[in-house]
Amino acid sequence: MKKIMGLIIVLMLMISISSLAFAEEAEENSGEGSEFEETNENSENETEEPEVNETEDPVDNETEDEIRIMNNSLGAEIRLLQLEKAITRNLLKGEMAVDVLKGLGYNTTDLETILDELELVLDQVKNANPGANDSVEVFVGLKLDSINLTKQFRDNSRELVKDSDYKSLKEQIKGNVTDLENYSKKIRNRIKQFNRNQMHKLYGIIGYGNSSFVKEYMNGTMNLTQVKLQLNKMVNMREKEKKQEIFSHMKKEMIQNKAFGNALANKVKSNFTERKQERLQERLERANETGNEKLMEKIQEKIQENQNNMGNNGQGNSAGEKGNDNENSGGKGK
Amino acid sequence: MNNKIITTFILLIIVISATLLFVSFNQSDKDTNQNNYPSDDEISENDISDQVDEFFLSEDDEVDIGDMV
Repeated sequence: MKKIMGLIIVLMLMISISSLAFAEEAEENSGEGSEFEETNENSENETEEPEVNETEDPVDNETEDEIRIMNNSLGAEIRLLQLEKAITRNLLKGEMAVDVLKGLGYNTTDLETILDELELVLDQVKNANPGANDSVEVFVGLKLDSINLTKQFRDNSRELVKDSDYKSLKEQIKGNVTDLENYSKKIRNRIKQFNRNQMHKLYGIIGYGNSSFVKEYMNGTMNLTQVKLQLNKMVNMREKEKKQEIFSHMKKEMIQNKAFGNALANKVKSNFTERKQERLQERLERANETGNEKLMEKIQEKIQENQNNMGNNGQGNSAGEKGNDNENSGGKGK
Repeated sequence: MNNKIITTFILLIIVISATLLFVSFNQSDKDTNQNNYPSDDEISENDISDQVDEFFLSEDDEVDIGDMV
């Protein structure tokens, strides 16, 4: 009997040890899995790192988001109109600033030359064709030019004006901000059309045939927030499987959109310097037509600088070009 | 005497097999769950709302080029 008991105890011990070993092995396996996932994540981050480097990238994250909707002429038209509005607003503010500074006895010739060039950029935006194949490149280039000229104006006026005068200048301009209502209306109208198209797309994904919400949104009875709420409700009311299907469909659509934005950003970067040269040449011709000597001189300097960058960077490496271009380094600023 | 020992052994073998089967079944179940798409409980209302938001453009959306002063 004692022998039997001894055997049972030994067997019990063996079972306990074997199950402990089994449990430990399972834990190790799951740990290895997460480590593998982490390594994977790290390697993904490593490959994406160069694109995250904003100081050397002509297409920053914000611009990449903006160009995502430019896969059709409506999206391109919206972005070009928004850029047109932003430049017009800055031109008005700049002219106001020049008037104030002239009144205070400052020499504003350099500031006026910047405004003259910004005016030419505005003309280029107005002449851009949203339906053209290169509308994204045109938008990104002209946006960057506007940012640079705005920064130049800001820096020059900051250097030129005494601290106390600069403060009063800021206040005077702040109090006179123009609404540009015409632009706002036009842009809002185009955005509504864009959202209407997106609603049809979403209704298609959800499998909802009634378009009454679209009509109500377009005639103003419903606002965008209300439409979104209705769409959320519709999806959440669906059965488990359908809900999952809709969710993955929506996600797929967004991933495709992001990939499109990314591909466009790369396309823009590939020939950025050459396109900048073309834009500058066009502006030089326009300045020549108006006989603006000072502006011509300034644009010629820029063309030379850009040409040097093209030479330095071989096939017009846009990233280097932007990094070398002092105008770009400060960003938009506020 | 011998019969008792054999019966005890058989019982123990059955217990061990059952334990091992249970553990391995649980493990494979976990793996399958990890590889599947997120379950319905994992798709929250916020996830849906975020996805819906991404489809639309705010009517006040603007392109920012910075300020002159």
